Amino acid sequence: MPDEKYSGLVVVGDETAGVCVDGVCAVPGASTAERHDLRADDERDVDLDSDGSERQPSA
Amino acid sequence: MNSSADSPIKIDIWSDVACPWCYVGKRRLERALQSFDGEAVIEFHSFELAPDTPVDFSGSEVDFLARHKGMPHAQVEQMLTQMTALAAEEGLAFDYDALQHTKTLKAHELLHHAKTLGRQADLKERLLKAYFEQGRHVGRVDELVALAEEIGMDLAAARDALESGKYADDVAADIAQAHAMGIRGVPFYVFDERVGVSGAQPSDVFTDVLERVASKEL
Repeated sequence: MPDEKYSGLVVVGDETAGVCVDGVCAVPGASTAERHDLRADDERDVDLDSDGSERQPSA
Repeated sequence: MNSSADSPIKIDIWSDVACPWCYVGKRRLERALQSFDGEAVIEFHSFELAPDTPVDFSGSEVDFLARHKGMPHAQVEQMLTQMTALAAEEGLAFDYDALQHTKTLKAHELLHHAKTLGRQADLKERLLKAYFEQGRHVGRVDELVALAEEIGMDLAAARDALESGKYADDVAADIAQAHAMGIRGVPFYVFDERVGVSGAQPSDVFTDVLERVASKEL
């Protein structure tokens, strides 16, 4: 069973930068990753009370 | 404001050994931690990027991405060249020509074994270096126990941990947790169980997050 201590997790920053997905590790067009400022409007809640398969933004 | 007088910040990291961004991100986080006026405790969690990879995959990284992911050969080569350059900026010497693509399940089991001994961080670094810089095979038991021994872990205990499969459930639990959290790619960082950061962000982003978590701004 997933640990519920992570429920309500807030994710900050650009989720598409510098990640490997399904074995593919794409590199952004530039030779270095872009700076992603952390602003309040970047922050999102993760709802783990549903089926746990999808993030739900908070209201 | 800092957390020097408070409890250390816990950083949970979901990552894979066969993940170049995870190695780059490790260096960037380490740099942020060097300038952070506080304490942090890191725990690595398992995530298999390509669980369908055979242990004894025959071919190069280019072959794997071209054959299994259907990517054009030239695009893969360009991507690996860019990644190698990015890694070099972090002081890492990736060698994709020597790299041996493999399944990382057993490597994750060994990392769980190392965690019980307080050696997870050392083994994580050893495995990443072995895979990306030294062309070592990190999918076979014999190679993995040799790498464990190189950092001073007991060879027989490491072999038993891998051959018994006693950490397989822990690996599966980490991966299930990742899926429950909606994690589709790695690296993924969770600070104090409440703030998530996806990807190998620049070190100043990690610094920003560390300071905001320490000050309870996040």
